[in-house]
Amino acid sequence: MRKYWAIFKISWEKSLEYRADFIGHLGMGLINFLVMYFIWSAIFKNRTFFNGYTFSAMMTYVLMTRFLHFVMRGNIGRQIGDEIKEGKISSYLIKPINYTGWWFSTFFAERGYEFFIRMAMLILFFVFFPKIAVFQGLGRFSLFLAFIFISLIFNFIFNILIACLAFWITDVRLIRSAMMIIIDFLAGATIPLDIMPGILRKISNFLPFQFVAYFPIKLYQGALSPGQITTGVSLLFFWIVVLSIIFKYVWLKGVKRYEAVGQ
Amino acid sequence: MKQLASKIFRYLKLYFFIAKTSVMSVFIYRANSLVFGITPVIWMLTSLVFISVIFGGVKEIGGWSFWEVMLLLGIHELVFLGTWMFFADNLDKLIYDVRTGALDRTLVKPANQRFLVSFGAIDLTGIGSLLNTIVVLSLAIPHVDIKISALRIILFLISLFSAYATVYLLYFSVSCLSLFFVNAYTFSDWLLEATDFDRYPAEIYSRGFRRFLFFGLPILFFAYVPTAILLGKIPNYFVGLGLLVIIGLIIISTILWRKGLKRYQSASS
Repeated sequence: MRKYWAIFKISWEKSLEYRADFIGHLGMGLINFLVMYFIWSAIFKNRTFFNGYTFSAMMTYVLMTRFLHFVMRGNIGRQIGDEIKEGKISSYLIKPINYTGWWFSTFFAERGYEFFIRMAMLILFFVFFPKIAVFQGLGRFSLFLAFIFISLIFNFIFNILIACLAFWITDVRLIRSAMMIIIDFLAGATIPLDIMPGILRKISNFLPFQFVAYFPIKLYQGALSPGQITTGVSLLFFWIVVLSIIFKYVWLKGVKRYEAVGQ
Repeated sequence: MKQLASKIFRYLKLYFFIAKTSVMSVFIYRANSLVFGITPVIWMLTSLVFISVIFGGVKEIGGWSFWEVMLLLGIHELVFLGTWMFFADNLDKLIYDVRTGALDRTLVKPANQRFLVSFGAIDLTGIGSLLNTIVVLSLAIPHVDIKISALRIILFLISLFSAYATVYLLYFSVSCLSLFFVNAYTFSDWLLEATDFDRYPAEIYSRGFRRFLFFGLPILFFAYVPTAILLGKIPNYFVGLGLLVIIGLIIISTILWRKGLKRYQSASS
């Protein structure tokens, strides 16, 4: 356990080194938020409700999707994919360390750093723009944060699973970017799932991607009944278990196939 | 005159060679190219669902109907199809080359350096955007009220040409910042993300912000102005303003390129 804690600390310090890049990323999140702000302002100009949402509720939803987008996203899928492609995982395989454990520590260190920065931004919004960032109380907010932690575990497993495709195809980056667009959409990051066309809503309800954006935000907004919360949490754990089993199988098959190209 | 003609012919020949090698590289990595072709289609589908959901509850946004917004989206895609194909990837490579010092290899070649860094390769993998453009435009055009006249078509074509020139000059200027700062990727990422402002009618923005998007960071000249000109939603003089913006950007980009090259230290090479 100590060695994984050491990896966590090193990755955390590495994140601190690239502060200038990080400031740039902060700006990026704001541009998208601004576009959405203007669109929804135009829609709510002559109305109080849109498909059951008030302007404040919709803007809070949009703000939270931005927050979750940056906290959840991570580059490990691409990094692991590149390591497999370039034959770099050989050096890990001969070390007395678990490759998945290595990346788990790295992933949580990077996400943890981004989480604190984005959290500071979110709090500023809660304080200075209460009409577009409605604070729903400490209880709901704590529940929201706890759920994010579980969603991060799911996100980690899903990302390394995609990366494992590199054992069979040349480059996972393109597939990954195509999948990210679909996942973002099915997660409700573009529009809330409850106002999506019927068929898409039904599909999304069974998939785990809703737990990356829609579900935690609705949890925060107090729009879910205790029954829905129990079903949702059970479904998320079900997906974590299923994906872990699939990952284990794919990883073993992949390593057998691995030829350490370029090494 | 003869010298100029021979120079143009030389660069056309060079560009033909670049196009040939680009086609060959697509065929080498067929599977990757196919996936890359699908990505913009998926992206467009999600945008269409987003717009459909919005218009499921309202009849217009900023005075634009559903099909008018679709036309705007189609023209935006048309402009960015050219951007991705002809120069975006090359300018991203410029940022990378400056960072690694690999720009040296381009600078010693016997051709115009700005031409090489801007148009050194053609990216044919964005072919999915072509499909998007055809589908969206052919769906939108029959549903919008366009009063066809020779003047309107000429003004539209000029504004479309201006759009390509503006995107190129803006993108090039931002990429030139890599000659001054260690990591200019952040700036190009910002610019790319800011192009989202051009995918929706400018009427939804506040007056001050709209002015900024016309003359500060002239993103609205990409697709909004050509579409609004075609639909007769803005006065014709906006076409002239677009040309003035181009002149301004030519001056800025030339200064940035020349001053930047003087600062280039060929680090890591």
